[in-house]
Amino acid sequence: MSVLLVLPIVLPLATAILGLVLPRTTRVQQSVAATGAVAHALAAAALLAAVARHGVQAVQAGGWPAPFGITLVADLTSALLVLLTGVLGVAVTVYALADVDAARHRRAFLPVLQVLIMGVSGTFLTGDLFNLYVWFEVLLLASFVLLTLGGERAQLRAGFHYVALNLAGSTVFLIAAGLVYGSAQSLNFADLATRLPALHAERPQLVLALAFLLLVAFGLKAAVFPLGSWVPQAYPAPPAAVAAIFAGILTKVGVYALLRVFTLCFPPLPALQALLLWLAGLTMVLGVIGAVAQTDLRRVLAFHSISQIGYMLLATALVAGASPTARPVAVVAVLVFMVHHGLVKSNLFLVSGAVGTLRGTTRLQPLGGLAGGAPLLAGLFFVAALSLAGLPPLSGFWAKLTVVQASFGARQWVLAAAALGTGLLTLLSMVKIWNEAFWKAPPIEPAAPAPPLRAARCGPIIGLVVLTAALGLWPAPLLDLARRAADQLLARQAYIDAVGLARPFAAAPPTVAEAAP
Amino acid sequence: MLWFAVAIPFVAALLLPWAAARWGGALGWAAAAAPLAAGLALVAALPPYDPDAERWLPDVRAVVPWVPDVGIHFALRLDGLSATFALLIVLVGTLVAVYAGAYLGDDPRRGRFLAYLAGFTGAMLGLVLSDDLFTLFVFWELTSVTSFLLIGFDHRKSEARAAALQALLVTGAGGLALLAGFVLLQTAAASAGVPPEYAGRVSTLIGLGPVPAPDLRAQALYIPALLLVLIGAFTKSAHFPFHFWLPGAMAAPTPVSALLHSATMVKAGVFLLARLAPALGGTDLWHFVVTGGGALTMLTGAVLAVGQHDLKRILAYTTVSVLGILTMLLGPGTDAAFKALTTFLVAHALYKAALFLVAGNIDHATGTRDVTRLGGLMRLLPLSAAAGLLAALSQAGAPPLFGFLGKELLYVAKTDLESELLVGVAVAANILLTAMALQAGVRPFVGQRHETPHPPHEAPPAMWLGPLVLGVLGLLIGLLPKWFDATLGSAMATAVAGRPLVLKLALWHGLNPEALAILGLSAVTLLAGYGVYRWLRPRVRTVGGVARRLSRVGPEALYSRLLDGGLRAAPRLTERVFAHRPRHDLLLFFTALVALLGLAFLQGLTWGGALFEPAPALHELGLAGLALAGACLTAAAPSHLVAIAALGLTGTSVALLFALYSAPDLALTLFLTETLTVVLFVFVFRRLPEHRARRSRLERGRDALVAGLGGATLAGVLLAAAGVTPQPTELWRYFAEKSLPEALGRNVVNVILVDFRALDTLGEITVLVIAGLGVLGLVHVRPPAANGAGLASKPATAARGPLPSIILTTAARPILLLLTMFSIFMLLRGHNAPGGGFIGGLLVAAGFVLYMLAAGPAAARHVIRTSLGRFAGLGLAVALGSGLVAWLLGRPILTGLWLPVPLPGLGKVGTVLLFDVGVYLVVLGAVLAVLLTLAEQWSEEHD
Repeated sequence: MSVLLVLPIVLPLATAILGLVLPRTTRVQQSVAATGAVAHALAAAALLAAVARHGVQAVQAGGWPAPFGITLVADLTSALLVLLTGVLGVAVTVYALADVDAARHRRAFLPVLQVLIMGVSGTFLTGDLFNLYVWFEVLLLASFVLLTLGGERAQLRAGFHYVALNLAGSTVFLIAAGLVYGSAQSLNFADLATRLPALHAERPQLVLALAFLLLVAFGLKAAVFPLGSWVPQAYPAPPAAVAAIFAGILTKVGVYALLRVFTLCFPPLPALQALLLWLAGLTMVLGVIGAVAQTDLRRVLAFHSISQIGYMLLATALVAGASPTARPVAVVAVLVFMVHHGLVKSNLFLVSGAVGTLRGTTRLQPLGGLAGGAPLLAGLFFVAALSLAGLPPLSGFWAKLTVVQASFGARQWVLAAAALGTGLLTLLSMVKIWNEAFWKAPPIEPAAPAPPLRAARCGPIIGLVVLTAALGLWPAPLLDLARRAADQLLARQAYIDAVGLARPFAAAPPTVAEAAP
Repeated sequence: MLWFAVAIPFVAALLLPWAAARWGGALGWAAAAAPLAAGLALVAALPPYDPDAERWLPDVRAVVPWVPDVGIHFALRLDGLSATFALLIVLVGTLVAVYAGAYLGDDPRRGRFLAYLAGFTGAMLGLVLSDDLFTLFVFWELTSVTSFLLIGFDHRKSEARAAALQALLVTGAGGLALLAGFVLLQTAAASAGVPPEYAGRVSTLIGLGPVPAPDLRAQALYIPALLLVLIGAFTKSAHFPFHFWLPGAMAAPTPVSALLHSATMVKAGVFLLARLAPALGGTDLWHFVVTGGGALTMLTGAVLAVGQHDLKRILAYTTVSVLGILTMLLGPGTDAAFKALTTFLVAHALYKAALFLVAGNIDHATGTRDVTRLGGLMRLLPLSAAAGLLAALSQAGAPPLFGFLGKELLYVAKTDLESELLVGVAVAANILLTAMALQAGVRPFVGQRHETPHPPHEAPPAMWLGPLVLGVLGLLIGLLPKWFDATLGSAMATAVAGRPLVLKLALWHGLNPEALAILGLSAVTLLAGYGVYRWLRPRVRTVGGVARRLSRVGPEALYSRLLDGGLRAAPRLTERVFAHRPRHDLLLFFTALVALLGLAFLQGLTWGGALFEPAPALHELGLAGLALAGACLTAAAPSHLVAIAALGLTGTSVALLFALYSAPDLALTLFLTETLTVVLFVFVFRRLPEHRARRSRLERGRDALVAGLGGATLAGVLLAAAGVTPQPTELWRYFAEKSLPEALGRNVVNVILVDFRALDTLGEITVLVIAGLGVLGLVHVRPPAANGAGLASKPATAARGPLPSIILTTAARPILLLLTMFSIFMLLRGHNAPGGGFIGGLLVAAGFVLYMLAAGPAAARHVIRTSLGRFAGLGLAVALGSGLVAWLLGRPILTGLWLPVPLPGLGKVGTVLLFDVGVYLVVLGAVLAVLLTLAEQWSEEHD
């Protein structure tokens, strides 16, 4: 079991190392990367199956008992998100084989991509606050390199913006981790699950301050309003493959961190929840208004990412709330939304890459006529776009439905209405893309018919569209899994038991039951 | 069977584009097979009709769990209401498919068009057959999507695109309201005690399920749920104030209008209300909104139709009017109203689809749909004319057609209510509808012939078959109403009313006063309608101008204003919210931080425990002051060089503090890092533009305030947290106690790095490698030559190469050797004394940097001989490999394993030592790779 738990971290690292020592532009390099990505996805699937069958899994890295070493933990939530990472990793790696230029490959594009996958997997699997910081650094640096590799002006500009903000966020995270260690005397999530509530009983404001620090650090990663403006910079600048993996997984890491820390470690904090709710609403609405305002395909998509993060945050905030009936539904909503959005948004960026390849631009004004010129691509975009807008029977519908159900369950009428209204504006901007890029006659008819796209470009897009349609038509397995993940996440005990805290010293801290408010 | 019926059109939709290339001319007939087959499946599913039985009430159900977790099932139900709708859909769907095959001729995209039509037919069938709120919703949205594709089929025309968008947005908005309404209904049903499995089941909600029906009307959520459902229904069925999308949708090809915009999709809203009427109807709110909304829509449609001269737009507005009538009939809940609804709905579907198809034929034949340019076509298009006349007379309510029966019942229902207002409104609207029927269905065929764009000719059989069948059907049912009223009619009326109703239709009701009064009303309507038609004939254009002015203040104008205004305002708002400047965003970030921490302080955050106890010594205060001064100076530095120096001051002070508080490893690492950072900065800064403050005094003040507050609040939280911790903590004790006996290391810091928390270190050295790669990638970017903005401005400090000092050059090699040996020593002793891989790696890197500065980067590169990227990769491999040893032996990853006997000269040897070697290699490789490359570029540019 311990094998499966570390594979999603070890496999990409080994693949990256191999990639670093191998010649950069050869077929061998490419097959190593592809094999590594597939192996990672398979390992993630095996991990999910194992967790689904045997319950929460934990490994003490280094063999030291928790909370003294670093614990890696996989519950259903983590395993599901690692699998999402794996699937996107495969799609993006395959697409990158066709799409990324040789100069970028020479600069170790594929190994860095693997390191990003490793960092994201580590984030989802770690059971330790400082280790989470380390994985954040891994994925921050890897994403920064992927973002700037190639050195186009827009990339450098976006890269500077991205790294400047994120280093500030990292600093705050580091300070917060230090303060948590200093005041609660542990970094282990399972340990903090008892220690922070105990501290809260004594010093509620201190715990609130710690929570706020983490909220700022994670909120920046998740692109919460008003900290999300790095997204519209960072997503459109790099090659489509990079944008796809960013959009698929990067912001989810922040949402996951919020979800994990505020369900497992912290006691319910009404002030934090109220704040998060309204920030979620603002993120959702302002993001989609931003999307409506854009005139470039990839910028529309980037702003949508902000907006959709708002949905996930809304559900996360409801999880952090007190309503016992709404909380499980809210967890289901977060997880379903993350999986759906990961698949669909990545895919739309891949489509934008294909559009760019065909026509040399992603600006909507000079585009047009793609419905006739590239009917397959048009169909794929149409399905993915409708899924993003939450239309049935696609995955986005279930994501939207669960969010609305959770909001209604928590009696958050205004936010539910905002979520639905955002859905309408999402539809509007998707149709805007469709009308401009696919339906209208191009201002200048392209001289020659577009060459057919290579299989390495189409394959991942088709695969992801099939996934979103399959999850839409047959959502029961995902929803069922999410429901079980919700029970696990909210009960907390399975996680804590799996970690198995050692208490070598007499004065043990209070148990969950004692610490419960 | 029910599944089969729904699935067939979808399968056809997938096959048709593929078949298009092969079947050419017969494609329409092939496409018609799908709805026909679906219809046959439905008929087969219906219980056989027994004329002797007292009542024929079909109720066939099929349920498959879909998302049982959320209480959603794929439930279908075939009863009187759904059967009537479904059979209408397949009938019109079949005829329209045949029609469309011919209408599109050789258009290369007709395969796609017929596929969309088939997909729509499937969605519509699914909608009416659904017995689950969410299944219904799924199909509901699918009809919106297919309708979008069909309306925008001529997508190179901007009007078609705008109309498609408009229809999708309006029905999409309604869809969202409907979704919210359904969620509320489900919640309300669940809270009324319905088990979750049945809470979304329509048959249960209307009292036909296995569990008793909940009284939804008594629930608190009833009002919002009902209003939301009504919005959904009103948008879909083009009710006031959402009616404008339907005339807009006339941009669609004619077969689409016939199928979607007259017979089926626009009736979905009416269908939904009829479906849910037994559960939601009967309250004052229902009565008021449904009857009122219907009446308003009826009038709006009828009045706006008068000013139209485009055949399809006339038909569209009359459709709006009829939809209003149908909704209005759902309001009161009387027997007569339900009967009238049933009859009127079916009659309308038949005649309106026929009229649309005839309009298509006229357009096809003449090239225009402008009624003022049409006339006298009877002789040239005899079959189309016959169909058109039959349909128009049915709409006009002339006996003995089906429409006459519908209108009679409508008047019965209205007079039943004893509301003069409603009767008056209904008569007025019907007069206008009659006039419009003559305008659209009769006028083009009679009177004077006009000059038309094409010479007129009769349409091919596939195109007159459909309208003629529909028109004749209207006549037949009018003559033989028993075919309808005893079968589907009664069953549908029963389903809608939720109580047994018997529909009995007749052209002649005998000589009783009520019947005669109704007949009189019908006659008045017909005559007055003809009168209006005669009056309007020469004045269509004039009246049209008035109508157009009217619509400029209507909801359509509001829609355009909202859309355009929104599209204009969005960029401005976005510009403000997402400013896209790092400085601005950093300010925002720290302001948010300050605000949140300030909130915590406002909640009463204070430091606990005793602060400053024991009181800090003077030298401690001094170092802290130096660190603070360095930070302030960095912020205020006039040049890069001063900033570096100031930063060094902070770093050194902190390093000294580490040294003071018995953390020699940290101090050593920090000292080395500071040293190498200076070298790095020297290479980097010569490429940066001159440091210039472009901020105003106000901005600087604001920035200083946020920075100061940020520092103060963070320090405050730190002090608050510091008071909590008892010494020693559990972790501290564990590390101190276990380090030597179990991890075989005296240096706890190093043991933490390579053993207790080796995973962190593995992550961090990966970061180091990636950072190195990133820097290399960026350094190799050629600065853009043009106008030198950004990174490429002229080098500020026109740095000259390091002066080759003879002493330095001579000494560098031995120093490098010494430092290398020393670094290996530090690496090996690290586990027990200050040192370790990080420090060792930094030391040897420092040695190389010194050598590089003395002898030049080329010489340094020569000494190393291998690619530094590989070097770092190798280090990473060693570190990972050392961690995997334990893993291969079945222990957790990165577990320290030790050789049982000490090796001579090395002492105890274990995997953690190997791990540290990996760290050493990574640090050396990554640091050197960056510095060497920077130096090489520098010397390249200066040679």
